[in-house]
Amino acid sequence: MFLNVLQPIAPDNYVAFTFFIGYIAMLAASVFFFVERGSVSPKWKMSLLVSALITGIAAVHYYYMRDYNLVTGDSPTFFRYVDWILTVPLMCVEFYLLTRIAGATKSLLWKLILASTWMLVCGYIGEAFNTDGSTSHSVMWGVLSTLGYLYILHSVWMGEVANLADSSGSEVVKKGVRYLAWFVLVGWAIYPIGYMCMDGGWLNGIFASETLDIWYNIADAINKIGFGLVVYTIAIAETKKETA
Amino acid sequence: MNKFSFLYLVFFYATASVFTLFGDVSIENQIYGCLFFIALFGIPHGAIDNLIVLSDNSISKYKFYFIYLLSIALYVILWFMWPIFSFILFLVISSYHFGESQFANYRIKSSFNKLIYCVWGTMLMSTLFYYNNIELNQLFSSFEDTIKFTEFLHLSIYKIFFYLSNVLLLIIFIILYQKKLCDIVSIRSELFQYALIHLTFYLFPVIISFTFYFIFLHSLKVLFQEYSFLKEKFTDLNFIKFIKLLLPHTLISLIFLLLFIFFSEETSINLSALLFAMISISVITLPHSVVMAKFYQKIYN
Repeated sequence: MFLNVLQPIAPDNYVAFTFFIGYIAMLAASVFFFVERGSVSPKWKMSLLVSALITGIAAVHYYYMRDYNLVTGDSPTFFRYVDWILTVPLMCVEFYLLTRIAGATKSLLWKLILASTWMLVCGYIGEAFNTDGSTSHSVMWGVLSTLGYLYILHSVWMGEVANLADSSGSEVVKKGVRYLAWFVLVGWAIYPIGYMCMDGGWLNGIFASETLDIWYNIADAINKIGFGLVVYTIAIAETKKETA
Repeated sequence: MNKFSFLYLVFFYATASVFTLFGDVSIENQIYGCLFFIALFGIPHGAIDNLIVLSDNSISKYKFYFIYLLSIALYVILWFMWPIFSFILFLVISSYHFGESQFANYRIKSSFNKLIYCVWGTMLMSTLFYYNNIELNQLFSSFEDTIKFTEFLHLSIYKIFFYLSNVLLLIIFIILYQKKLCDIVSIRSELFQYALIHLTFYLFPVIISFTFYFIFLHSLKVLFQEYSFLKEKFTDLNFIKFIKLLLPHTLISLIFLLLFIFFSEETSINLSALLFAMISISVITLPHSVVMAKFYQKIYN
C-alpha cells in the first residue's frame, strides 16, 4: 500500500507519526481479534468479531487520514466523523453483547445505537457545516450532541447497562463493563474537548490544531484497541470458566 | 462515577456551552447564578444541623442553640478583631470539613484518617487559589475592606500548600490501595473527582469553580447522607417532608441575606458584599463543621 503522492516526512512530524502508528496498530489489533475468535466459546465469538470490525474500520480510515493529512496538512475532520459514525455505534453494540447474558434486550441495543448516532451526526453538523465560524451554530449542535453522550454515559454507569452488568452473576462481566464505562467517561471525553477546541470554540487556542490531531490519534487508538482488549479479556475469562 | 459526579459533568458541559456562547460571563451574572444554586442546595445542607444533633437527645434544644449561636457570635467578633487570622482559620476549618465529607463514608480504619481529610481539603483550597490567584487578587482588591487579604496571596504560601497537598494526596491514594484501606472502585472514583476538580478550577472563574465543587461534590452528597440518616430515625420520612424540614433555617438564612442586601444599599451597613459573604459563610462553617464531625462519627463509626 503506497501513498498516492510520496511526501517527505520530517522526523518531528508527530501527527504523521501517530497516523502511521494508528493505522498499523488498528490493523494489527483487527487481525488479533479475528484470529482469537478461535480461542473463545461460540457465545463470545460475536463480541470479538465486533471488536475486530471496530479496529478494522478504523485502520482503513486511518490509512486515508494519514494520506489526507500529509498531502493537505489539514485535520481530516470528514474522515474522522465517517470513522466514528461506524465505530462508535459498534462499541455500543459491545455493551449489548456483554450484557446479553443478563437479559439485555434489542431495545437497549437500538437505544444505544440511536444515542451514539445522534451524538455523532449532531457533532458533525456542528463542526463540519460551520463554515462562517458561527459560535451559536457550534454551541447548539454541540449541546445536542452532548445529550447523546450523556445518555450513553448514564446508561453505562448507573442506568440500564450498569444494572444489567450488576445482575449478570459474573464478576468478570461486571468488572469488564465497568472498565468499558471508564473508556466512555475518560477516553471518549477527548471528543467533546476536541469539539470545543475548534475555531470559535471555548477552548480554541489552548491546543494547536496539530496537537489536537495527535491527541485524537492517540485517544482513538487507546479507545478502540483498549476497548477491544477488555472485551477479549472478558471473553477469554468466561470461556475458561465454561470449559473448566 | 456516582450520581453526584454525573450531575457535575452535566453542568460542566452546560457551563462550557454558556462560556462558548457568550465569551465570558460577567461577575454579577456569575454571582446570581451561583447564589441560586447555593440557596437551593448549599444553604439547606446545613439547615438541619439542629435535627441531626437533637435526634438522639444527647443535648437539650436550648443548650444546642446557645452553643451554636455563641460560637457564631464569638467568631464574628474575632473577624473584626483579627480579620487575617479569622480568614486563615476559616480556610483551615473548611479544609478539614470538606476533606471529612469527602472521605468519611469510606470508613477508613486508620489513625491517619484525620490527616487524610486535612490533606484533601488543603488540596481543594490551595488548588482553587493556585489556578485563580490573579482573579482572587482582583476580587479582594475591589473593596477597601478586603484589600488586606491580598497580602495572603502575595505571600505565595498557598503555592507550597498546593504542591505539597497534591503530591501527598497521590501518595495517600497509593497507600490506601496498597494497604487495602479503601477498595479500588472508590479510589478510582476519587481520582476521577480529583481530576474534575483540577479541570474545573483551571478552566472556570473562581466563583463558578468553587460553586461546582460545593454544590455537586459536597452539598448534594451531604443532603443525601442526611436524608438517609433521618430516614432511619423517622421511617415515615419522604422527600416532601425532608424539604419541609430544611425550609425553616434555609428561609431564615435567605431573609438574613436579603436584609443585608437591603441595608447595605441603604448604606446602613458599612461592609462590602464580599467581606459580608466571607464572614457569614465562615461563622456558620465553624459550628456546622463540628456538627458534621459528630454526624459522621455517629453514622460511620
